[in-house]
Amino acid sequence: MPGFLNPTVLLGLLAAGGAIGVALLLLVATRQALRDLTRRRQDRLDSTVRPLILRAVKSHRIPLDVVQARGRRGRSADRVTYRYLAQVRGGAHDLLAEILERRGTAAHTIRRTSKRRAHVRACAAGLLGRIASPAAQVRLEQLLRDDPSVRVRIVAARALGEVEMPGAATALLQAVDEDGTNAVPEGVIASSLLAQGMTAAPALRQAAQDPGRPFRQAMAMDLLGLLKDLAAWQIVADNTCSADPQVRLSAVGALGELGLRKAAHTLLACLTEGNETGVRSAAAWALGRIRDPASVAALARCLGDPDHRVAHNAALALAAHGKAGEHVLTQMATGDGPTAAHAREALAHGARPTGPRAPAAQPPALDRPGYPRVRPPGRGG
Amino acid sequence: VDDEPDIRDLISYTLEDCDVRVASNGDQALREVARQLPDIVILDIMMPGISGLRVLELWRADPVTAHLPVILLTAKAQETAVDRGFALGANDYVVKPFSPIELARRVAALTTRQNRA
Repeated sequence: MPGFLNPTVLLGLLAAGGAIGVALLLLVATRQALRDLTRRRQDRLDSTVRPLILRAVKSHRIPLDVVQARGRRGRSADRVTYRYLAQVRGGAHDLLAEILERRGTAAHTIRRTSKRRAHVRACAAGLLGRIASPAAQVRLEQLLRDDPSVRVRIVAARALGEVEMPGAATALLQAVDEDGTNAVPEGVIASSLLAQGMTAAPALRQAAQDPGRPFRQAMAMDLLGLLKDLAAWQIVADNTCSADPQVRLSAVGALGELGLRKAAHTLLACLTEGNETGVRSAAAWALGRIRDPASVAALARCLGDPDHRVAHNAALALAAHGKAGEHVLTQMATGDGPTAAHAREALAHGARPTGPRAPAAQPPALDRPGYPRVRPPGRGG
Repeated sequence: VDDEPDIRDLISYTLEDCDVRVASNGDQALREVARQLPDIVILDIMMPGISGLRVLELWRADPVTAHLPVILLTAKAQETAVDRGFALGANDYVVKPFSPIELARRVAALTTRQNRA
């Protein structure tokens, strides 16, 4: 009989295993109990600090005892201030940011962005976005440009979206990399610029006029459209004649988003005179957004277009034109063939208030540019 | 009415001169309003359970609460939901993050208008 099957040894092994299990359970329970204790202590402290911070927000006076708080109470003051900082804007935001400045927390957070561990730098960058002071903005711009970790650069880009200052938009646009080596996804940069709202518009208009960086130029126009920056319409319209196909496509899409009737003439030219199916189908889509009665005839002619994407979007655009468009579609809907099918589909879709966006069966990239986009060949990434 | 305690705290303190009652979800809001009709409601759109818009719809369908002034609270990304809110009869809206002073002014404007009517 082998030694390890000896009943005494087996019992010993079982006892040792049981002891280890109990020890592990105790360890986990102790850890959980300690965590709960810490959380309860933090909650208790926070509940004493919270009224002081809330009263400061209401009265616009910085409480000295909060500014001078140190140790656990100081950390509680930081925690509560950061939490409310995320929820307010205007004077209340400035006041809370000033509390953090005076406490030295803002400077401390900036210092933490130089730590060795990437997740510490990323956390600090996220907090700097909430503070949104000029010093925080400068540091975030540096992180976005120079930090070796992509994760930190992404957090810095998102945080800059919370900083509603024109300089932040310029920094974000500079981070759009034409060759794709920077690796901050353009979707992150685009959503951060959108988060800035119209603060980003001047920088976007400037980028939309820079043919030297077509990828950034195209993104700027997409965003100008989404932000409904009507003042930028002429810049966007001029770019429908750009040498870059992506820029032309974005310009047409942005004109549709802007929805200005004076852009209908430019879009009709793109639809009828161009030979790129992507641009033509986007022009049809955009004309559906603008709903200029003068475009009905041209859209009707496109119902029989050899490219199904152009015909499909033209039919949906006609449906968006109301009675005039529906009249044309009803005439075309009889009989067989792709034209009648497009017309019937558009008539069924036309009653919906969302406008002529393509049904899910169509590949969306063919109907509208979006993020993340596929970079054109030859641009890396 | 907001599921975020920080927002409820901020609004309660901003309007501390008024008698403020808070609710953390749509169900609780419906119960509170049925119990005692307030002068005004600040209502978050996106909440777990019944959404703010559904709560508003239910209030507008009830003759007792049909004219209850409602300010919608909405995140920046949900601003399109505001159009639906107005279609349902919302009186105003405030985008989060919000300025407490601005919110107080809107509440004052709306309640003053309501009192005059």
